[in-house]
Amino acid sequence: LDTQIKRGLLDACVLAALRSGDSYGYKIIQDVSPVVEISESTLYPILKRLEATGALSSYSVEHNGRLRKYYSLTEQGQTRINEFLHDFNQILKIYNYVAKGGQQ
Amino acid sequence: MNKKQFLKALNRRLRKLTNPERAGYIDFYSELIDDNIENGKSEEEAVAMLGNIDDIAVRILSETTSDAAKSSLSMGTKTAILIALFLGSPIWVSLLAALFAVVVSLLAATAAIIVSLFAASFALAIALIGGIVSFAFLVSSNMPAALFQLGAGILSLGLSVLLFFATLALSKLLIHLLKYIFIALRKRFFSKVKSPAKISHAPAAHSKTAKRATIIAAIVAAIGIIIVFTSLAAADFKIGSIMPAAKVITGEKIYNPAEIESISIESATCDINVVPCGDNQIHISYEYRSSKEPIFELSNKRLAFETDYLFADIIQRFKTGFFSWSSSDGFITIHLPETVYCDLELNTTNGNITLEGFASSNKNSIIECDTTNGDISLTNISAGSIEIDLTNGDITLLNVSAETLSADGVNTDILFDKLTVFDISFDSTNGDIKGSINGSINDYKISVDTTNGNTNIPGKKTGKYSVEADTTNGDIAISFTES
Repeated sequence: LDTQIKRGLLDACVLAALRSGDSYGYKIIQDVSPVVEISESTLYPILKRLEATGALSSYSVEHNGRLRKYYSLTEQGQTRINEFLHDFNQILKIYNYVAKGGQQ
Repeated sequence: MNKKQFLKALNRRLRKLTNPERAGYIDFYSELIDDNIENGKSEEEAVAMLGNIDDIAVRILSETTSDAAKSSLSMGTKTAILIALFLGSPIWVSLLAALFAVVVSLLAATAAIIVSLFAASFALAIALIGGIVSFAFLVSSNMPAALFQLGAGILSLGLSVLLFFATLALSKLLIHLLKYIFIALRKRFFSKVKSPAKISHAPAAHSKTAKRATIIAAIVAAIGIIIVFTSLAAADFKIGSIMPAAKVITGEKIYNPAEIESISIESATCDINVVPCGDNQIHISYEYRSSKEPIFELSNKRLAFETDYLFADIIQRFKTGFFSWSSSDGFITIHLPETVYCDLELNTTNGNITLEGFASSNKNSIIECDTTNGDISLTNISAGSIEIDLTNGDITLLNVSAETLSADGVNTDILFDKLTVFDISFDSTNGDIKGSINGSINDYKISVDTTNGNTNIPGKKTGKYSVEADTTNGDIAISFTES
């Protein structure tokens, strides 16, 4: 898959994983990996990037005597998901057009 | 591999990243391993689940933000980018040139300050030797003066050491300051250089030995002051008795004019006067401060007179005291018969030269006058050729006749009257050239040149005689008087 597209897909997946509630690294991987292959070393940069652009916010919670970092979806993150869905709706149209051999 | 080993190894592999970025990854992986363990894995398994550490590091480095990527550019690449920037844009060239100039001048200024302060400190230390030698010379004859010299010498030593450590501290401070500036400058070009804030500024306090030496030097200086004060008290605060005037050399020699065809006078500080006398003899009289008699040398009808103080002056200074502010000047006077067959070479550095009232019977006689800081004046003189040269002082020529005359100065007004000369050349840089020449303007070829001044006379290309006047920042006013 094209890296640019893959990155967009992964971003959307991570954001989607937070839609049902705040989550942390390990759990996000668990949630997303059945859908798309994601490694720990790819997840972290994604989280950082999304946080830097304001789509996520993070906070630390004590858990079993250590800190666990939770991520939560912001309003901006929600908008990003909507944008993704909209974009893919269009892509889907294009896909259909291409798949049908150029017939409407 | 356990968790600790893994994190340590990862940390090492991520050293190209900035500290906060690296810390973020380490925390993240630490948390993941803990979560794996919590979900029933052993520590080793938890780590193994993450995969090969080298792959992880490569992936992280390739994923990291552009900032970090930029920082991983090699120095060579950065230089290449900079060079490309300079070549591509002329403003960069001048900016770089300016920056370079700033850097160079900062370095030069710092070096100059440090070197001159150390030199001053060294000179003060040397002054101790002067004080001791003076003490030795004076101790038997003038105890207070000897004490004064010794005290001043010791004070110099103390000040020298104090200045040395002050300079040392100052140069450390300056070097730190420069470092700080250069790092700040580098940071502008290469964003990821260590922050200047991390450089410890404030130079470390003096070492113990330096502190001790400073205290001792202060004590030495204080002792010097006490000795100086004591010597002054012993002399009832009469400075004159502590610093006696230099020995005055005085004398007169008389020569038969028939024995002499040229006289050469050489002196550093004396005024040189040439005046007429009534007895048809040549007298040379002198009076100036030195410990040594002048050198007379008569050979091939040439009389050379030289004031001698080179080495003698140093000795003499020790005799009156190294720390003595009596300056010496004096005079040398040549009495000449009104008509004489004689060349004159008169050289002094800081004295005036005055010639008055004699006529050479030799059509080819030469008068040469040289000084650096003094005035030269000739009155009622007749000679074959006259050459005058000086730097800071004025030239006055009154009723002077000669075949040729050249007068050169730099910061020099050249003033003349009743000049009877066939070939005249005046040259000054920052002075006026003014006066009148005996004769008809029709006889003279005239060449005048001033850059920033006025001239009253146009150039003229024909004439059997010639007058030439050049100055840069002065006026030229030449008139002719027909008798």
